[in-house]
Amino acid sequence: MKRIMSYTRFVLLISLIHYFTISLFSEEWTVPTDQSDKTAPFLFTAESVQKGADLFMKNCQSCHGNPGKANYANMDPSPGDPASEKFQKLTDGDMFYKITNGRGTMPQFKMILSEEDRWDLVSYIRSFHTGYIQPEPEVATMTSSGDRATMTLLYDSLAKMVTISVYTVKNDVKSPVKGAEVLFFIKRYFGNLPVGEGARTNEEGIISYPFPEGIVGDSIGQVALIAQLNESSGYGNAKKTIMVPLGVPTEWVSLTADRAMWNINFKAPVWLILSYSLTVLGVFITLIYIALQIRKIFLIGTDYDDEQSEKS
Amino acid sequence: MQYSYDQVASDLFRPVRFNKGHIIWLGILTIALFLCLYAYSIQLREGLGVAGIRDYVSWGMYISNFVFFVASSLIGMLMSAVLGLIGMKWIRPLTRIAEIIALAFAAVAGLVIISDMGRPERLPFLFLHGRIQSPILWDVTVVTTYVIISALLLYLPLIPDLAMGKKILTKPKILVKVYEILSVKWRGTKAQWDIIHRSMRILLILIIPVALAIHTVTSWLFASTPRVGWNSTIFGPYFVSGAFVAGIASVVIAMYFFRKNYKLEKYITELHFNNMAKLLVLVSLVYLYFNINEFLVPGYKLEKGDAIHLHDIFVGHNAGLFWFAQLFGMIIPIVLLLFRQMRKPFPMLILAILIFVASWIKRYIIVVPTQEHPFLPIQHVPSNFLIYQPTLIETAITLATFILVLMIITVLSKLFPVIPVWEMQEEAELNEKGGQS
Ligand code: HEC
Repeated sequence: MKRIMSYTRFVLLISLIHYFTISLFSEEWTVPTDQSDKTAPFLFTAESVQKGADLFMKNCQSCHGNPGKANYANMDPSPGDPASEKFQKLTDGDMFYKITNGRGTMPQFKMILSEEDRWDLVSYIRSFHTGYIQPEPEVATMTSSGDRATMTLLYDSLAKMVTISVYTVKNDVKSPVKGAEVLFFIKRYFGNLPVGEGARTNEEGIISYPFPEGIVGDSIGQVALIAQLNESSGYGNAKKTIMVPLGVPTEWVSLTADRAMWNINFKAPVWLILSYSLTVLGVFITLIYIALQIRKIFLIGTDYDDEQSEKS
Repeated sequence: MQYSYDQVASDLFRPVRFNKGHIIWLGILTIALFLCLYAYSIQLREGLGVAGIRDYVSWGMYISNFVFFVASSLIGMLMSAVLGLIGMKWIRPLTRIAEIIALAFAAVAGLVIISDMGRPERLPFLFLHGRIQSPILWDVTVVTTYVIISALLLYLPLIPDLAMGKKILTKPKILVKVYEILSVKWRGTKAQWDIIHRSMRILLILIIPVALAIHTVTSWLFASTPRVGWNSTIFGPYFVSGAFVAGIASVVIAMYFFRKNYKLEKYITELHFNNMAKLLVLVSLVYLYFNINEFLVPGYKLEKGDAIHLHDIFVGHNAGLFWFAQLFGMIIPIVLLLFRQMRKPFPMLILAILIFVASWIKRYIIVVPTQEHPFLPIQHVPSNFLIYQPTLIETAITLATFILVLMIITVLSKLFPVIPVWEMQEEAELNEKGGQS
């Protein structure tokens, strides 16, 4: 029995090992210096904080809880409270980098949120730090090579192709943007599904993109397709969403529409209601019958007594 | 040892009276009950936190105890219905004892459930808002039904005895009055006998599916949950066969005490112990068979969850209780009862007590360890929630339910003859006739 460690000792040992690996590991999350020094491309405003708050509710709260309340999820490593010093002592660049790239259970938001969204989150997290002074925004990096571009999105339902043209407009003159990277997403119930690797516009500023097969759509096959200009191309972060009828038409039946075991009482399966009620009824009737029989014994006894007294 | 027709009534009605010994015994039980009820009052005031149940193990001693009580009550069905209907004559002096035990355990089982409720005043919600899809609702239905049928099965064959008793007993006056009322003008006419026989037959048939249902549904409270150790298709028969083992142990203990205290050696003979022993071996073997299935099949595949569970109960921190339950509740009795010497009353009593304790522990082992290793860890709980540790208050409340059972059995066995008088008279008549011819 020596081989078998007592249960508690075992648990203790495991948690110790666990603790050490985790604490070693968590100290290591360093951000490259150039990324660490990065600053936001715009000044944080009440508006950016509000946008960040909305994004936080949707994407982060499940793990990080409500900032300042320390009600983050009990996980290893701990996500931590964004209002805490642990977060606030990070530089804006650190924070942006960590949200962008993630690590372990901390998801990577590179493909899920735009750069602007991620900076809005930083602005929201900073709003819990009263002494915070924002470093000078690096506006220049944002649209370094010129003006913000615009996109138009078209689709061909027969060929199942989506065509995007990217252009800038200056003095009413459209000029195509070449070599700009566009990322594609399909809107799903819980966030955006990235499709494809992203593509670059050709000489005419156009990308022809074959819509992937087998994407589940609504009842007539409509799907919301999002095209997002990659900011690092230097033409801003234009984003376009269109409904394309290229998905697989899918009829959604609510799981609580029909009678089911998991439904409310009134929507219980008929066989169950019947077998339960009939069984209970059957037993109940039998018991009433027995009660009547006992009464009958009493009545027979009474008659018998009457007969006896008549005889005597 | 034989008994004659004339002796039967006086022998069997002799213990029907409260002497000093019994009043003291009931007094001790009452005081103990009040001490335990004090523990319950603390639970009512402070909430369920005073018990050891926490987020991980939320079904602790109370629910284990409930399962045990339901299990013990099943014996009424086995003895009167199954054995009675296939014509086993030897069980006749034991049916009423079995029925009293069944009724006591089934009636208190309902209270045991309430002990597990933090807000017992919400009990009616179970009926008002119960979902027909929930095994809990089925369980409540079937336990209530079983209590009623058991009471009727105790009462019906008692009617002729009551009519007889009201002539034989002279005091106390109230008891005679109670006998008078309860005997519903029994005059022993043929029409009345026909009704008793017919009604008994109907109830004996009815109680078989109801009793199977009560314990099968109790097992479904667990088996309908996809948790390691509960997620089993054989939980129904596993519970039912285990219930017979526990129930027979209860009956043997009761037989021994009634035989000694009430001087019933002529009626409850060594033959009865011998036969009960054989019955016990039979049901234990069936139970062993289900145990092998229950552990070997998951143990062979050893899926991750099952591996953790089996490791925990075979060699982990629940191993002591597990092996006690398996060895003393099943394996050792099966082996020992192969020897004639062990089937005598006293060795049977010792074995029955061991089986009784082991059966209780077995329910604990079925209910508790599973919850200590759920598939997903529960969040935001202190680490000491992981291992269940029953508290003193919880133990006292559980004890209270046993005291209640003992009180019910004591009172019923003092108010009424524990052996059906008219059935014994019938036997005596047959024997005497046989002797003459
Ligand atoms: C699935 C759970 C989860 C979600 C969702 C999540 N995080 Fe995290 N986050 C973590 C964990 C766990 C860590 C710690 C990672 C580590 O130390 O390895 C972490 C760490 C961080 C850090 C670094 C903290 C530090 O001390 O260095 C930041 C900043 C952060 N998260 C921001 C966010 C933001 C903003 C969102 C929403 C867009 C988000 N997280 C969503 C789990 C999550």
